[in-house]
Amino acid sequence: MSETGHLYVPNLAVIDRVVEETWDTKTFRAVFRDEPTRERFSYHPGQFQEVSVFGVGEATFCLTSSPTRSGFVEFSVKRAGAVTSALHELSEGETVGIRGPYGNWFPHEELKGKRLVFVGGGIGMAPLRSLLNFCLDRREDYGHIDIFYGARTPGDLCYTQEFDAWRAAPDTSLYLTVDRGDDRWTGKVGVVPAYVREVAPSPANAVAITCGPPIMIKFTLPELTKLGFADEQIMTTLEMRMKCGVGKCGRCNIGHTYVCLDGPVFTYAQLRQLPSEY
Amino acid sequence: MRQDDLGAVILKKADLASWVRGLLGSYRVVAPVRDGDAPLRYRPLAAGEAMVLDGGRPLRAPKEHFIPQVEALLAFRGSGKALTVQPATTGESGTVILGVRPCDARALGRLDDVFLGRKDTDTLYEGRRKATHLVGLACAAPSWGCFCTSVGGSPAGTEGLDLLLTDLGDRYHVSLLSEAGRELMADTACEPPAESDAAAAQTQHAAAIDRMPVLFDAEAIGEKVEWDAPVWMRHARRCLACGACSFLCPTCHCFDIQDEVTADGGLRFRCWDTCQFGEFTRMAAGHNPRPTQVERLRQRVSHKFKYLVEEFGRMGCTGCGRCVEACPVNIDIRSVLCEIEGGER
Repeated sequence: MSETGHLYVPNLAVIDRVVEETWDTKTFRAVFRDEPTRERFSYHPGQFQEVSVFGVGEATFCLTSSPTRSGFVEFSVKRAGAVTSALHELSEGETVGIRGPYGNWFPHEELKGKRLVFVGGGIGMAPLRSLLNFCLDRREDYGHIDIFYGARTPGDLCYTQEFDAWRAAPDTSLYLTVDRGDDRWTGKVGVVPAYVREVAPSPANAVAITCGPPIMIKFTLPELTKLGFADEQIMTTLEMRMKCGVGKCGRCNIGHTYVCLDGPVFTYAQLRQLPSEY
Repeated sequence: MRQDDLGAVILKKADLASWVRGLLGSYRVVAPVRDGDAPLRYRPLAAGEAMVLDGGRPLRAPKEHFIPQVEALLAFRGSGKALTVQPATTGESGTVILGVRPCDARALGRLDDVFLGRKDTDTLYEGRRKATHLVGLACAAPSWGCFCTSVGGSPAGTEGLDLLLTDLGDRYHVSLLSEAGRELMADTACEPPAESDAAAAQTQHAAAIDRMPVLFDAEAIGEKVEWDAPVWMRHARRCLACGACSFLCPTCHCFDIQDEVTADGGLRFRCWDTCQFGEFTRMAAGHNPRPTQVERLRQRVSHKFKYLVEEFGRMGCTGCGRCVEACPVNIDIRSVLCEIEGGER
């Protein structure tokens, strides 16, 4: 919430860097205009915010930056609708509105000492990147880290500039795959769930954190289960259409659960308790 | 029904106009007014203007005075580093709403659960809510769609009201239900009710209750709602997705947030929205977790009778009957509920 005014008043932030991740996805780095907001805006990996282009509207984006790297917030935007298209038109120096942070987060305290298996697909890597960089910045707090990341083509992989850093991190393995390669792709070709099956990360003292297209989630869950991951050891973050982000506008409920308040992070065990309406 | 803790007074109809005139000196007064051929509507009363207390239940609930159909949230000007934002404020003066139906007053408690509860307070709503006193009017003649008695209400219910008026012909029996209510009557010519007045009010209340037999056990609905039951398809197949049920509903509160560009900047506003619209849950990339009216009807009914009960312990329906009467294809929520409660799938 902004310091003055009501729940729906955004903080103003200036875009100070735009990274073209893929042909349809950009990552924006924004810095809050006023010092007190920069100080006050603290968040956890997995939380989200409402970002607005004034005159076009607001849309929901997860924070993809890690709170360990302060002074700015980052969010990745796949061009799909009106707000996302307007955001893609913005360049450095332009102003956006940001409300948040909202929602729950990946339980990074509880995850301490555990082995982490990240399983991301496409733009679904955005929320995982926040937790991943958080854990890499506090590397001694966490066990071995496996990163599975896939996309349709090499050109659809986001955060490619960070792959070297992820590979080079201690006790960390990066497994990249694409559904279809191209002339320059020398890496793995195949879907993410198959790669998870092949590498077979151990479920012992481990937690899997997954986010991606529904089809990837659908086939990844059984693979993790076969490897011995219990439902409580698998986490994901849900995407639902939202407007307010604060439990008022009535848009993101699944049964009596509001994704904006009770989520977006759920364990698979929790999801099984909810109606299958997401 | 609650006992009148603070007692009751009699307000003669001959004194009604002077009472309202007195209120207008200190408050913004909102009351049912008939503008031309338009349906009765709660709107601010001008000095000397006539209200209509005996015209039946107004088409819209007074909810629009707490969640306006369209409400500016902020104004913005300029662009880039020069962009500035001016948040809206309520700046609400004291308001009295007259002729509030018991079902609609009760519904405001449900809106409170959402806008004052659920983590953060919506201060725009709160400002209006705190600045408003509610003067109820007992329903002597419930409308054909009414079913408040089936959802724990009463045509003479007092929940959320400061005063309750009961029309006794040439006079109103006025139950004083709060300190604020008593103050509203303080400066006006009232007399204590005779025994016959209190008896007449009670007789009228009982008669109105008798006109609305309890149709189903509302408490049992939440447990009996089935996800894949054919009841949803049976009713939803007719639905035109017009949203009238939600817009007229005193407890429906969903909204959208949109921007509008003006000559020198723009406005961000919120406006009523409904889970009955196809776009409601459709995401930018196209996925829609509620793709047809079947899922949307299930959402609306389950939200009111199951999800809100699980969340707040009370259902999101006060039986005002507006959705029943307004539906252009005669989807009757009472039938849906009877079928669910009766175990008909």
